[in-house]
Amino acid sequence: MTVEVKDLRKMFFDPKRGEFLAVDGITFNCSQGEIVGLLGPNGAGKTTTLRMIATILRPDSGTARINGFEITSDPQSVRKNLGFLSSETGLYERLTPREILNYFGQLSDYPQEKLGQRIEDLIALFEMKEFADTRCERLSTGMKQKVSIARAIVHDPPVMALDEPTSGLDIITSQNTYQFIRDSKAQGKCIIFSTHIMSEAEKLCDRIGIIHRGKLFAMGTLEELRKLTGAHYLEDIFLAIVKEQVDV
Amino acid sequence: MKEFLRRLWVVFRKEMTHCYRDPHVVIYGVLFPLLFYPAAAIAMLEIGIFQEGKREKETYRIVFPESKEPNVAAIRKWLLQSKRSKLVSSSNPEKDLQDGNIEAIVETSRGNLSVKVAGRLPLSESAHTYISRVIETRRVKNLRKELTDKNVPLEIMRVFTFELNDSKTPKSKQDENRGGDAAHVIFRYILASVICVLVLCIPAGAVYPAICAFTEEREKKTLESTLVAAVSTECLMIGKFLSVFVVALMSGLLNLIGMSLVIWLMISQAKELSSLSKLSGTTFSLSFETGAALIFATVLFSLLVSAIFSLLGAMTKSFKEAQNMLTVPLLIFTPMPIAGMLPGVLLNKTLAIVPVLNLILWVKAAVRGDADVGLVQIAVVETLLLVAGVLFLLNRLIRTEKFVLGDQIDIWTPIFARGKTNDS
Repeated sequence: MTVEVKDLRKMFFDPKRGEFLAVDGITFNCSQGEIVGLLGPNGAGKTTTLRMIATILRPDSGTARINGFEITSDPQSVRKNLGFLSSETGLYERLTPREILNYFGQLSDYPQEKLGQRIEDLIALFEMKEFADTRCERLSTGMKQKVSIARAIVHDPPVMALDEPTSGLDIITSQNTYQFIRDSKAQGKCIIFSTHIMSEAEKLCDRIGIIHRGKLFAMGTLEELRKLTGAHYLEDIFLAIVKEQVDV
Repeated sequence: MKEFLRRLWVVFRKEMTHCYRDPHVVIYGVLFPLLFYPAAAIAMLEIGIFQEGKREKETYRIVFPESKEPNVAAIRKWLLQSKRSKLVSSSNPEKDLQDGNIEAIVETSRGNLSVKVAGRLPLSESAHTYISRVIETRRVKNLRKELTDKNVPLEIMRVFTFELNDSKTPKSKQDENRGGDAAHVIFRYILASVICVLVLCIPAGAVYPAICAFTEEREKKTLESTLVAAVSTECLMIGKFLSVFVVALMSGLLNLIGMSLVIWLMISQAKELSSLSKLSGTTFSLSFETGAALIFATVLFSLLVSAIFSLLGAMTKSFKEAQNMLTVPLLIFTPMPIAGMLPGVLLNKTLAIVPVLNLILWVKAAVRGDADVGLVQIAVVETLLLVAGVLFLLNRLIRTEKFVLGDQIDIWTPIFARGKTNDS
């Protein structure tokens, strides 16, 4: 398995709510050439899970291995093997896309002698030639999203963690992002993808995990989830699983 | 280690590029030091010329009784012939002076002259200056004549020649108590203003780089992507801190260069224009020790300011919040050079541990030529320890979850914050 997540747990403290479990014992895995989706409403714990996988946050207990590297004991190696992208992630406004790609590429372990070519390839792949040398502050949302994706994969990581990558994007930019995810899968990348948009998960994911209030209630292919709940549409499947688990 | 340094260089270079593309940094760190001083000097010269022109048009009404004493008569004659003075008669000169009908009264008593003016009237003040100059000129003329008559070389009149180019030969305490020499005092005034400007300009130059390097990461939401880059938190922190330091130091040095050039030009100009130029030969130059102390103290101060501003910048979430937060140390630094330049405030065991003030007093001591090596060492070590302490807190802060999650950070967060990131 390229990604193995085992019993991840994370508690936060909020002055109003006190201590609360944001992620409560989440376990799942993801293989090469597979897209695993974490489907859940806002505040379900998707982002926190992905942030722990990306080594931004440290889990209170449990662990995850990314391409064989443990997130708590070897975060640096994990980062070298992981591309992280979130819709909220900004870009350095006064740098150009080319400079941003160069910066993150140089920080990675990607062979430096091949970095120039890699950046040119990414610029061509995402059709960024026209604005590759324009400062990011002057780019449109769609252009920025292309740069963000290219930034996340400039070091050619085998694993990608995408946190609601299409949130706030228009339909054309969203379609480009979907295409990129499909292409990455075809290249044998392991993709963990979080979303609250049912249709997105239905279209893209090989397996879908239903996550709610920090817990992963079910994980399987769309067919497996249909069988499990007897519902056809993902929205109904989601509601059935969540209602059943919450009632229990 | 080689890999760490390579990544550090990458982070530093990126921060410098990003920082110098911020118009605030260019305005306050580069353009201001380069343009402000020449502009200020030009403005001062223009004002001076304008005032001089205005004064030339002024006519002073002076009550000056006739006298047979040759010197007094000569001065009276000069004033009588001058376009700027008009000798008038008055039955009650005191009253006329108070009422503003005349500007000055010159009284003679056994060859001595005394000038009475009304201090509250600006024109009366100018009249006083003008009459004093006329009297001084007459005095110098008499002195020359007397020396020539007695075959004494006129070089004896070069009383305004000072040599200040070596602080190794400090003036004795007694000399100082007697007032020292005028040029030394001028030199100290200049140095005091240089230090004042540096203490204000270095922090002003560090504000925007600190906001660029730390606050902006949170405000513009680039922090996540930075933290998932394959680089350690220490490397990121040091790279960012170094960029703040270099920009602050560059700003300080540019200010220093700008000020030095303008001061040098103004002194040259003043010497050329001065009516006493033939008699004066004042030279100003900095000894190696004083220069080295000034540069080294500037570097140390820049280090300290950059560390503090980086920490405060990392604690804030927005540009506005950062500006407010960074104003506090700016206000604390402001009175330091003024306090340091007060007479009698010298580097001692107590003041050697007062941050910033100890560096100012070190430069002051270097100028005086009585810097105590032990006290200087205390000041240097104390500043370096403070820098290390602040950077330690910055490193702790960057590793806290509050920082990563963009939560509100207070002054205690770097010390007591719960929840650590993966690099901890």
